[in-house]
Amino acid sequence: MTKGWNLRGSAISLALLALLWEVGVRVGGVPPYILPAPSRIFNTFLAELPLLFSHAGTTMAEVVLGLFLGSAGGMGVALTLFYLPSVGRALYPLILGLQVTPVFAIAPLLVLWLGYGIWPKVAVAALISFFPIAVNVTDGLRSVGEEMVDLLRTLGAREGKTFRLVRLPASLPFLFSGLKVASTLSLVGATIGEWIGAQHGLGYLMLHANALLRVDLVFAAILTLTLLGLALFGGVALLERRFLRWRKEGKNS
Amino acid sequence: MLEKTKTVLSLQRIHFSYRGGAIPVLAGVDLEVARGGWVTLVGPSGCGKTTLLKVACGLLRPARGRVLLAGEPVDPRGKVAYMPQHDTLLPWRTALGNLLLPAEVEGRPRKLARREALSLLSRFGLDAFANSYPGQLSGGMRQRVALIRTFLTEREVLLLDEPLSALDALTRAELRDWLRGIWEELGRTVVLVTHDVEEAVVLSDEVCVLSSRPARVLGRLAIPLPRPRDPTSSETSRLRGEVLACLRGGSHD
Ligand SMILES: Nc1ncnc2c1ncn2[C@@H]1O[C@H](COP(=O)(O)OP(=O)(O)OP(=O)(O)O)[C@@H](O)[C@H]1O
Ligand SMILES: [Mg+2]
Repeated sequence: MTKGWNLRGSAISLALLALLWEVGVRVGGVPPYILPAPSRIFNTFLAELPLLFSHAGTTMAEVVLGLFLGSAGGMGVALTLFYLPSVGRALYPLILGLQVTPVFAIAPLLVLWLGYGIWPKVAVAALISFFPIAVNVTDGLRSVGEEMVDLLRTLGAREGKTFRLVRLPASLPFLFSGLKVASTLSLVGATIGEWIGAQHGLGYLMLHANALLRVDLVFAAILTLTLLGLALFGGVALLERRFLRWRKEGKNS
Repeated sequence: MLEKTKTVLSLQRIHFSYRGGAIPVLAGVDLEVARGGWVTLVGPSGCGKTTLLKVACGLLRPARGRVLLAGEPVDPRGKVAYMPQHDTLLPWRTALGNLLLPAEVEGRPRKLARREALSLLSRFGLDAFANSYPGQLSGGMRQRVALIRTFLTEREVLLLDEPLSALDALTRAELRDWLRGIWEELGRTVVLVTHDVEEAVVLSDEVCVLSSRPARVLGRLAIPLPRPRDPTSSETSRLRGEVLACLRGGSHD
């Protein structure tokens, strides 16, 4: 996946953009409390690294926990939809309703119910990552052909073994596609959760810095968030490469 | 002719309809297969050949009629090996990993199964591909692996549903000899389905001709020629003509 990116091209266009921004701010005399120059943002980023790091830790914990809980819930729903279709059909409108309701609209309620700690943000991240996982894993379970299941049955396998030997591995590529979407979404979810009410985390830091007119610090926090997002996505992609080696090698010939 | 004890698989007056299907699929089909023998089923497309194999391995229960294994009426599920019509290699497993599937399902010791699989791979010219994924193999190689896997099930009777049909003519002729070789060496009972009359005549002890749906047995032709057989000899051409005549005779009424 990352191989498809033109790294040099990306670096050049990014550098050009930064240069344009730097020159524009300096020549135009834009005050730093409106739009700081990239050099200033970068200096702040370096100077405040320990602070950013500590807030990033909180946000990351929320995201990882939320992603974990959301994935567990999503997989549970996928299994229910697959193995108990009648229960699944009854649940489906509820799940869909939950999905089309913007999670951010519920976020204030979650803060009300779960307090100012990490849990309302974990809940937002979990709710937001749950849906792509559920949809993808359901597709994955359904992707196994009838003939494959027939073969397993003639070998004497019951559903438990068929699940372990065929359905589960067949669902893995789908799970990873879901995780890639969910990981980036849950970072957004956690940040917005922190805007609504928090004592720590990058979202909180952004609001705080904004109130103090420290726009450079706001941008430094955004930069940190971007790096976190890239790290998350990269981590999932790495796991995917590790677990789905056959896909890559399968295409080589 | 055949003694009763030599018959390993016998289907008696099998009737079958799919749920909701207006026309029945099988209308009283009889089949007798001797231990170590090779019977080939030919019949028009969609006449019910796959359905008959599925009844013989217990995936489908006949509406009427009996399945006997070694003279005993039993549920054949798990007692007869079946190779489905389409590619059923697990794409996430190497060729060797796919060969271990039967042993894994049955809970046989892995080490032993591995040794056995490796020895068959090298005996039948596939040792270079042991660690290749199905996506890296040609169609012919994939079918070889799937066929070896069927032989590794340790079942007396093997049902092969058009294993060579999806291949190009050259590969098909090559695999036909290869399959005869592995059968002669490992000595199992084979029921083969094919559309290719030449293949049927060159490979089997007996060709069983089925009518179009609902399937009945139109005729049985013993092929009393020594193997290996020359597909171009006058004897095989004559028998081919007889099978074709039998097939055509059935489509008139
Ligand atoms: N699950 C099913 N439900 C209803 N009808 C079916 C089902 N499977 C097969 N049929 C029908 O039953 C008939 C026999 O099907 P079957 O697959 O046994 O034929 P076949 O002889 O193997 O055909 P082919 O030569 O194309 O492999 C066909 O007319 C098919 O449309
Ligand atoms: Mg068929």
